[in-house]
Amino acid sequence: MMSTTALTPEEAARFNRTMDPTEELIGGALNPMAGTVPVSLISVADVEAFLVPQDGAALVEYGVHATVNHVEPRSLARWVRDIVGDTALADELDAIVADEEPYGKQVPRLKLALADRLAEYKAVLDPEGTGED
Amino acid sequence: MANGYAGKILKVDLSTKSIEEIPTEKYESWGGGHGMGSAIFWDLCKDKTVKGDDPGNVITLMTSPLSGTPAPSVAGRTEVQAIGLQGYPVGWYTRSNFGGRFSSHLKYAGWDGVVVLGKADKPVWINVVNDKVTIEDATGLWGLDTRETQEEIWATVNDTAEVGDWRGLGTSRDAGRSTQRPAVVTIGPNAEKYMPMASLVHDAGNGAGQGGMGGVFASKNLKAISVLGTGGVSIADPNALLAAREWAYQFAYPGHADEPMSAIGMFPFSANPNSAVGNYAAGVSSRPQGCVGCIRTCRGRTSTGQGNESNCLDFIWYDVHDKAVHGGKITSATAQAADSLQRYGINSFAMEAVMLWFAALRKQGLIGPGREIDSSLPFEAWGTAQFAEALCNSVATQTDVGADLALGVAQCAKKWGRLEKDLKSGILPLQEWGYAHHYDARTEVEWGYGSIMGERDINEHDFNWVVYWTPTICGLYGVEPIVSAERLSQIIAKKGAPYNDPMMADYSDEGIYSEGMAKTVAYHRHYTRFWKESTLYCDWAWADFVNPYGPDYEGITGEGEPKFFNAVTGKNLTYEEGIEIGRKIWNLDRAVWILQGRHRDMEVFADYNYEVGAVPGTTTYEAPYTVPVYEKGVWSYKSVAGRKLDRQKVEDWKTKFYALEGWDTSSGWPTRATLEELGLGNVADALEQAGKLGAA
Repeated sequence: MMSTTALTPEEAARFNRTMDPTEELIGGALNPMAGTVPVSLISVADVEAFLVPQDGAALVEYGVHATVNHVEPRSLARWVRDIVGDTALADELDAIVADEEPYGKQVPRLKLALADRLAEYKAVLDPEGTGED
Repeated sequence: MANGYAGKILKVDLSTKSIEEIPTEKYESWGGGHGMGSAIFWDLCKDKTVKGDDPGNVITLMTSPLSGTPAPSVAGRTEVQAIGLQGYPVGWYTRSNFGGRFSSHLKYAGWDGVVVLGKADKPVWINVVNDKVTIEDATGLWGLDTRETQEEIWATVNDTAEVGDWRGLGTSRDAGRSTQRPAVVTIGPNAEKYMPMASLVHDAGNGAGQGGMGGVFASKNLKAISVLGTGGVSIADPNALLAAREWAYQFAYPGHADEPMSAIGMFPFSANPNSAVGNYAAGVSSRPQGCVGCIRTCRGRTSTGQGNESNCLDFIWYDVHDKAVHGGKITSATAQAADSLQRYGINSFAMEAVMLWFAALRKQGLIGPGREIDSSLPFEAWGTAQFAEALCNSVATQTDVGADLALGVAQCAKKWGRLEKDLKSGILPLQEWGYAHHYDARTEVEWGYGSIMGERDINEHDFNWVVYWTPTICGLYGVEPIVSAERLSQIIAKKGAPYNDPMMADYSDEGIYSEGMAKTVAYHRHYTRFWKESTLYCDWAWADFVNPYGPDYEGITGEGEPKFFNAVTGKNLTYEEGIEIGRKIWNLDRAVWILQGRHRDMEVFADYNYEVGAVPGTTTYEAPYTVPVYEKGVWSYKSVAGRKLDRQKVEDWKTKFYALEGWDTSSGWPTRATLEELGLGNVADALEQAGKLGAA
């Protein structure tokens, strides 16, 4: 988990922002019936929600039911670094990507890193846990 | 005669109000379904160059000998054909297909199909109750949505019966009885005003969306066809049919309930408890629902009543937008969006393209209040049920942007001056002939080539499942594929008659332009024209190339299709003979397209397929697209995502394909020798008379 000490409220607010659509990260929802439908992701929270860990063997077995949400992991790390501007999070994502595991095995780790960082944003922005930013 | 056929085809001329019978025997050599439909269209449509909304257009709704029988995943489909209204730049003679109860009831009523000609002088619906056929006044139904219309017709045909009660159809003891409501196929409210977008809808969620068949109904002042049958289907060899079912059972999941289930092969969707097939919100439960005789039960009836019997694009046109604004979760908006489509009778594929296109236009600030494309649609409610309803309503009422979308998606883009540039950039995802991008022509070329050689998005998943989906998911999740790429090439070669070439499975950068891929596409066009579209085996169960319970993972395609067909018909048709009939049907369809103006120069993809890869930033983004390739003497699975097509190489491939089909390579027109070999000498005569016969 990344340290919150380096995060200022300004940084947390910036990293946690909802971006302009021109700054989107594009993912794809894969579905055996429809092909791939592009999905626009415009915040770190969007990406965290979009990534869904799934069991690969079960996916193949139950494949007709499946939807796989896909974000190219290197593109994600680059987007976090260049567009979101959160270099600490980008470094952590890059470290996961560097292991070169299959995508399905990276997803839980990517999602956890994003969730942890979102919690850190929240801790800085709402230290009292009031639910208000 | 016990052969699966009812023996007669209903012919209704709405101009003259005449109701006639066509003896099925006259067209029996075509098998059923699409083959019979094309042959009847050829005979009855006097001017095949008319537009889809011309009274001279002829629409056929055909069954097969297997309709209404216990053969698995085939009995419930109805094949619809006519000159279409959706295609761009030409509304080609085309096909669509829907499931449910309609085809079975036609058979039980004693009909192998319905052919409708002419145009009524006022709104009508056709009422079929066994042998009795009447043309009824639909003035009061014309403005109703598809569900209201069906409810009104149910009440008219069975005015007193409660759901599930036995209904007597007359005073005679032998008049027939049924627990069923009539099977009704209908169109949305005032659909003559949005014909290219209009679908046919039957029950809650069975639709024939592609082609604008709802528009063809509307152009004839035909609101609906209702059929209620109380008879049965005569089977040539009932013992053989039941034996075939038992034989197929060993290849289906229920025959291996104690083993890990696999979606590959004949897998019932409902075998996965509590995993709803539809894209429902969390907490919504559903029970399986399927077409007559289907083992797959791919739809659901829900605890909320929302999204009943919808499936596939009915949901997917909207679910990503729902999730995008609801924290990644599907809400009831997706099911409600499906219901909006079904009630208005609007083509879901077309609306999927609209949503992706509008999303891109919004991003560029080009659509909205006071924008270049001025619209008062509630874009702030994007992803909600409110927006879906508003968008569908705008098409159905021709208000706001719906006034132009009602012309068709490509036609709308042209009117807005955006067609060329948005097809070039790829933000308007219409891959060919104005049809929505479905599977990618650049990566899964058999899908794309099949579509441009034909007249619409093929929507046939025979290869798709085994060459793309399974290897791609396995690659993404580090799971060993059930068959290696080399084994897959062997299976495809075995099934891919008459070519039987393992190179048919080569999707490499060289393979997609090869003779092998020409064979793949030719086989696929011929196989589907007969076995899928004429005998009507459902796309969600057939073809069965790879099966976890088959010998060395080989599926039942090749053996299964004729086994059921022959048991029902008493014929002795081989798999290969069926494919040859498919080639004949394919050539007959092509002759119609040629009369409509088709030439090889027109058979090209939208520009984006040559200009950009399916990469982030386009509306046709693809994740890793892993397919079998043969490179440096070795078979493997490899991602080819991002690949663009080379214009010249596509042209070279077309030449190989035309030559393989026996067509003139300079025009793409069939030659007399090819047509006569298929017993289509009369078709050759017609093309010659039109100056469109291919040079020998």
